[in-house]
Amino acid sequence: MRGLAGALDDLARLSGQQWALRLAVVAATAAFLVAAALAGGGVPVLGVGAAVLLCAGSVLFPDSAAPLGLVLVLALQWLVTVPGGLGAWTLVAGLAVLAVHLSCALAASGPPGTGLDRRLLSRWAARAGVLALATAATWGAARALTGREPTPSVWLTGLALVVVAGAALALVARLVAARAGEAGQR
Amino acid sequence: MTGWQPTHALLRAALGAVTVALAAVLFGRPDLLVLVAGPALHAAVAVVRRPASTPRWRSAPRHTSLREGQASVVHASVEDVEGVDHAVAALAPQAWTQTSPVSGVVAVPFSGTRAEIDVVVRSTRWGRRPVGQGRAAVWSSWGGYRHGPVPLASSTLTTLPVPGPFDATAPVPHPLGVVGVHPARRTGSGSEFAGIRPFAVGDRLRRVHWPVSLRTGALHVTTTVADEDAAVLLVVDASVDLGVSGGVDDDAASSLDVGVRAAAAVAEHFLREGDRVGLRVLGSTRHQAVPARAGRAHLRRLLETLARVAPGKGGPVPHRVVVPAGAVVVVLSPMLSELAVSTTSALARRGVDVVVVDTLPGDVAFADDTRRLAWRLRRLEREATLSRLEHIGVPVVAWRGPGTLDQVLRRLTRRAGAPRVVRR
Repeated sequence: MRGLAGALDDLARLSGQQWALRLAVVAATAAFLVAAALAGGGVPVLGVGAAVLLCAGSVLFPDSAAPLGLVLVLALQWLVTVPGGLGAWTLVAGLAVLAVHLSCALAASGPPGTGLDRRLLSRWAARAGVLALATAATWGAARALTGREPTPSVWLTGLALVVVAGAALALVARLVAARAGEAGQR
Repeated sequence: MTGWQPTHALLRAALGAVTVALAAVLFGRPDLLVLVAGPALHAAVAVVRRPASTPRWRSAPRHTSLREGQASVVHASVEDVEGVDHAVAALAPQAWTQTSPVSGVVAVPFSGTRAEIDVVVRSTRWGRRPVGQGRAAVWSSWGGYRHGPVPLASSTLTTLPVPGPFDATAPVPHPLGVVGVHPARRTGSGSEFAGIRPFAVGDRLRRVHWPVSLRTGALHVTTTVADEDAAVLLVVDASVDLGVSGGVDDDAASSLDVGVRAAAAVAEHFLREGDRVGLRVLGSTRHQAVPARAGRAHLRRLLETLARVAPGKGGPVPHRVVVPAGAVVVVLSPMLSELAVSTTSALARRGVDVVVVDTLPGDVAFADDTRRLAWRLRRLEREATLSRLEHIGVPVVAWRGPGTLDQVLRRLTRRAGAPRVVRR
């Protein structure tokens, strides 16, 4: 990771578009914190402090592990402070996490002075729309399923665990195979 | 870094989604799944869309030679790769080079299997500098993988000096060529009137001067002065570069800026007149001497040699500057180096017509008192040197563009007709 001085130099070279993307990270983080508070989570000093620090890190270093830390801290804060339920604020929080993730991904797709082409931005806007729809669909499905069976069964939990673990294994296997392929080419 | 590498965005989406989904299942919190549904789908699509082929970059500037202030394009292209999103090229900042966009970073989306990037580069000062240095990278579809950054191929851009405005109406002292525009000492088929003499066999009838012939009763003809070309040797002092150069867009110019642009202007003027111009560079570069030639192609050669001048590199000291017969030597120097002073003195003592064009900029200033005092002493020393040079017959003029050399060339022409003693 580059030093803070280098990051501040990079800030001075940011294009207007990069400023907008990094401000979007801040705005999305703030939206998540507001949604969590309104969903019943209140304003935990420790969680908000950690989120603010990691948000600053994500703004300075979008191509680093800081945004991952921010996403995990936000999720942890939600898990600990919000009593649960699938109200509208849950959807807002999900969209805010998606906005943090996509803003950081776009901000990291070039050096600080990068100005992305309009065609590329519209392509990413369409993708963001698809992902937002997926988030909304998940929220809707969760609401529907929760209404039918308020307490999750052991079988359903086991099945979900198997699906998630299988997806993770497939992902890791593909990444390992890709790296092995690269090494073979070299 | 080579090969396709997963980006932080992919790792964030995958690890975040898996971790939070496990927590959702373990703690029976379906609302957590909503938080990472988007990133999870992003990771899945990005992994599925991983490109297989390796991108190949090519880059080169469209031009390798420009004039000061002109712009060209560094063209980079990447091809033969599928499933990619966009390519980014970033040129490294270079002194005296402006890029458009200012950051030198351009990102373009792929069209098919190919992306082409053009970065406009503008050179603002003469010289030879690398162009096209930088790095480039390609992002896969959905930003899951990145190939690069890889270094871009670099080339050398030669920026020719822009000749400043210059004009001279005075004749050069010793035209000794074949054809040209300067009135020579001998009579011949020129245009300037020389005198009237009795007709001799071989004289053309159209040269008969009828009034004098009728008055004297014998045929008389008019004679004219032959028009011949002259030789000019430019000596550029590169051993010292004083002052701050602001490039072609700025009025601030260093002594070497003034010298190089003035040399280009004088060369262009005399070559346009049909004269022969040679060049000698003191204290710089391998290509130190260009023999006196005429013609437009020769101007190009002179400008390219001037563009190669590097200040203060301490090239070999010339034992004897070869001067073409009858040439006028124009020394462009701030006269702050021993090399320039001794070379000028030696030329003057050999009887060569030498003119010193003072290239010292007027805005040389130093911040602290010690340096300011030292510079004042150095200037006094320089004034004494210039006085000594004028005492041995070397006129010194400051460069002011058009008409700079007129007065001194007229003085040298008058002096050329008078007898003198020289040491050879």
